[in-house]
Amino acid sequence: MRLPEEVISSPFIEDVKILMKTIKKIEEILINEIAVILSRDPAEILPETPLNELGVDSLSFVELLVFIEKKFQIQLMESGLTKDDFHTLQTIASTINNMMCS
Amino acid sequence: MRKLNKIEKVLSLLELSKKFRNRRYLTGMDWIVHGLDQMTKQATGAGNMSQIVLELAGHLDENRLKNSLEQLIHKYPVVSGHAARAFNLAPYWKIPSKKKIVRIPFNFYIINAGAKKSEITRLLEQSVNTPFNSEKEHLAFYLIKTEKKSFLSMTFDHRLLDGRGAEAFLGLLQDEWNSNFNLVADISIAEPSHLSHWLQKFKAGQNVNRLLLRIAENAPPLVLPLAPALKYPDFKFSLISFSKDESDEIIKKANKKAGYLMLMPFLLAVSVLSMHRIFSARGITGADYVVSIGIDMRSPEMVEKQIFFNNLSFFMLKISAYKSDDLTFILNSIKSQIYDQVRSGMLKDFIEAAMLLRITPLALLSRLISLPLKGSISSFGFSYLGETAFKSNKFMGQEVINLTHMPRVPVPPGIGIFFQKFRGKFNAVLSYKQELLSDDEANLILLTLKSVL
Repeated sequence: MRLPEEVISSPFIEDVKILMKTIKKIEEILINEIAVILSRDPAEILPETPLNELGVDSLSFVELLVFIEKKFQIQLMESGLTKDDFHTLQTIASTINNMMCS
Repeated sequence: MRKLNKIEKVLSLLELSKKFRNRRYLTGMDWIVHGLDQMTKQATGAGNMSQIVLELAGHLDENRLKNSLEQLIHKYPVVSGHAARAFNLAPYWKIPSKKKIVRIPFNFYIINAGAKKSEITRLLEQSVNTPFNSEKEHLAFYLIKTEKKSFLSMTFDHRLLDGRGAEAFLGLLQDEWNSNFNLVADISIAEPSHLSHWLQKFKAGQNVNRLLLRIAENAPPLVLPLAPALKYPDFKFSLISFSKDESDEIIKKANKKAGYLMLMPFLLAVSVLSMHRIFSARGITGADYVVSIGIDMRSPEMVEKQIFFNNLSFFMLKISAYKSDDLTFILNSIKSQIYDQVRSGMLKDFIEAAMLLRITPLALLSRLISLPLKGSISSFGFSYLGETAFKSNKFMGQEVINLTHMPRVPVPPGIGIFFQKFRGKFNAVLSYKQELLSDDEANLILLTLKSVL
């Protein structure tokens, strides 16, 4: 179903578009970093794949967390986040975005 | 002196390049492993060796295996190399010509039907405790046949292979056997001399030194007392193999107690708790345990390309002994130290700083290594290798039931707990120099591991 023209051009939809663009950008950054950590081709890494299926272990996960904290200037270790927040690169990107907005 | 003509010059350059092709510079970590080998030889008469055991669901043909080994070492003469020093003082591994390859020892045992598991374990202990015959011998194979199964053990010198490298080496043997030794494997042995970027190395050394000073605040750490050097190799091993269901439960428990993907810190925390019970029962009390954790720096994809030598770094963690009966405390302490050491780039700093130690002769290096912790290196060793790098389901036609490691832990400390996974199933091995633990104490450690995991 196509949304009416006035909804598409509303400020709310514009905000959502910007938000999606930001999350995609964060995902891209995370994909490139995890590719470096795991010595893999970024093209092979899908943001919706669970991290354990990508081959991320304790050490590579900590490396990713350190990268996120340095790159986005946010504190993850003491933030009380759960497994759901870190399940995939997609969920991590949303978490980062939420934390940066708040 | 007669001037060399052009042809002679080219020939001498070719000769020189041939000479350099037969050497592989050792990294700092390789040299540290040589130092640990020297220390362990002084304390036990045998070096820093380990063993991989393949449990096979059938009988392996020993002649076929012998022939295959013969063909394999002729393709990879690096296995018969030895350490030497170059004119620029950097240590290197001298790779012999094919004519000078050393034969790999091969021993074969048949065990009667109805033999106990402990009998197999004793034979395996005997094989890993047998010193190599020369400085150019770094591998030995033992085949034990029982009524229906075979146990193939490969004893290896850590100067040639690390744990995952050894798994990949057995995988290479299987792949070569499959291809009738016509495999064109992309294995890199070359290593530069690393005689540049000195400032970077000194800065790394400074960071490592700062870490060691923090860890050595209450040095020496708690250790189990070693007997005066007995000149015989005497390591014992206790193994637990977990089923697939039990292993899945361990992962769930680790996620719940330690956090998502925090399996290694969880396994380490449970190991600290298990060891603490022994120290407490013996009345060995004090400020800290120090644990050295070997970390494989290769990604799983790189293991097949970087089979030989040591691709390791270390975490050095200090855990307060006063609170080591509290799993949550141990976990938090481990996690925050790992986080800090990753953030400060300590794994890479250890690798860089170790390059500076290559100038040190081995006899001095073994003393230097134990200097910061006043004669110790750690309270015990630990590592978690993850899923095995041996990918095949079969070895020379026989199904592989399990793959386990039996490492002789460098002395001191001469004791360690090691985990790895084979097809999703965990194996844990407690390795210790005989006089460090009684059989009851070793059983208590295993019981604690099993009950908490």
